Amino acid sequence: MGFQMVERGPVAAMESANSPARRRGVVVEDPDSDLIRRWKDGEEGAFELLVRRHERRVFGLLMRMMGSREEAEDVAQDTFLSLHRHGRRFREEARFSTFVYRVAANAALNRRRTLGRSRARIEKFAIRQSAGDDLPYSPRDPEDATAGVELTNHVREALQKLSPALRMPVVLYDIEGLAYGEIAEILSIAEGTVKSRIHRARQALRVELKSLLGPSDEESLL
Amino acid sequence: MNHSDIHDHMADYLEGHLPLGKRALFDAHLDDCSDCCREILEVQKTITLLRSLPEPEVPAGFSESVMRRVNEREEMGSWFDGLREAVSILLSPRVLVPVSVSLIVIGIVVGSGQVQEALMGVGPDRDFAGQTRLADGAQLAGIPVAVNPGEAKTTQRSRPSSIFQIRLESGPASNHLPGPVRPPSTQVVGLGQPGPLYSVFGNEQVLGRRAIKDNVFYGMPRAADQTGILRVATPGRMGQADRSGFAAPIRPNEAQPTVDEWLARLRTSPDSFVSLLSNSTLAEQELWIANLARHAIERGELDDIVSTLRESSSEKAKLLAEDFAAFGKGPIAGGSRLRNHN
Repeated sequence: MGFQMVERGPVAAMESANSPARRRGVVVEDPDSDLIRRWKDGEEGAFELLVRRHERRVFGLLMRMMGSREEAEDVAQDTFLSLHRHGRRFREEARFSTFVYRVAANAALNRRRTLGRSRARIEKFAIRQSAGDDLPYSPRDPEDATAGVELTNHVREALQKLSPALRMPVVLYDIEGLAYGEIAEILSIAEGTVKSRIHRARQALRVELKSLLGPSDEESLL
Repeated sequence: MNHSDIHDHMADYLEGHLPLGKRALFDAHLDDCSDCCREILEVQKTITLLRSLPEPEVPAGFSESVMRRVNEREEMGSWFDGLREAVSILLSPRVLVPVSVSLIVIGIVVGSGQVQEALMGVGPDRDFAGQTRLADGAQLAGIPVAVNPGEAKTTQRSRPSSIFQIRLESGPASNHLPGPVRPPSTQVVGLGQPGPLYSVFGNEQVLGRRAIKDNVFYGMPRAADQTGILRVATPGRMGQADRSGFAAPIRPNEAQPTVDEWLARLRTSPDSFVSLLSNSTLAEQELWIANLARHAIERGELDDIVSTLRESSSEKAKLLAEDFAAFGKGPIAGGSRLRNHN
């Protein structure tokens, strides 16, 4: 069975503008097709291999969407459990990775709806924290301990301020490197809507991160 | 190209997807427009910042944890399959119909006996396990109450026999709270009228909080409450009455402090008053404060009381002072400040 490899987002575009992967219409084999077939044949070990293969991208997306490791891990587990329950019905009309992203995105958006109130509580806590009323911020991730923690936190916070409807496409495009078409498929929205949301998200982030962007350097553009 | 075109084509420009002709126009606009030039640089830097985010590390043992949950669910699934099979058998018509008919017949037999018993007035104490009727002068929770079993009165309103009325000889609103003792009244007031709220219990079931106005109390008992004991929890006090038939009046003990005595107690011993108030519910606290403040205003004593309370060493008394001071400016909203100290 053949699959259409669609164009990549700017992550790929900026790195290698002439990468073969960017060319439209290149037909490639879904790298997961063999594992899917074995799993459908009843080999549970194949599903574990699929989990290992996709856990990084699922966890990465959910970290950006949920904003905390605990929530991201929780939703990631739900994602794979849901995949295990319904994944055998996967009809291989799209790439398995797209299917995985779609399940993860739905899980994240559903979870965020139920977390509305606790999110508000966390935000209040953050305000109090910034006012010095609570304990100082302590790094939650190992990566926070490295240089650039402050910058990373600013970008993360700016991302969290976006609505989920804007955050999801910009994370999938600018961070995960997916193409417009694939994002449209994952989110079940039109490709034009994806582009528009990414543009709005970037503009909102630009305003939010203005202090980090430094003086304009027109030479670097031209 | 204008600013709007720049916005429309910005993404394609940044990704190098713009056709050569349009790109030239785009560049020409950027040469002339420093705002657009700055904006596009900032967007580009924003994208770079997003890409610079470190890749999150997947928690150790994540896939093993997923597989463990998968296996647990599969085991649970087999148990559920068994349960589902059993339920499907039970729900099949050959089992469900005879069982349902049997249960309906049993229900009719038992239910009719209970209804008959209730209508005949037999077994009135059955619903009040452990409850004894109070005699006049008995004490409830250390508070003497007087019980007058007479003068029960019922009213027939839009729902016959579903509304009862208690006519109070001297309303708890004026005895349990500071205020002049009002004469008995049979004035009929509608449900939902504004007035103090009292917690009402019938057969140890909470009937809710009901309004009492002009000594007339209305409630909507259920069929099971037609006989038995009605308890009314008034602010800071609890009365209990024999309610045979529908209702019996409650006459609180007459040895209640007058308004002047309460105001004097508030000034001379604020701590004990605050302690008494702290044990009341929030609604009761508001009623106490509202009544006392109103009377204090009428007597021109509010400022004096507020300053006395403020000078007290008790933190709660100071909070109470602010409640009274606030009442001088209008009804207090959000309850007494004491609530955080209960």
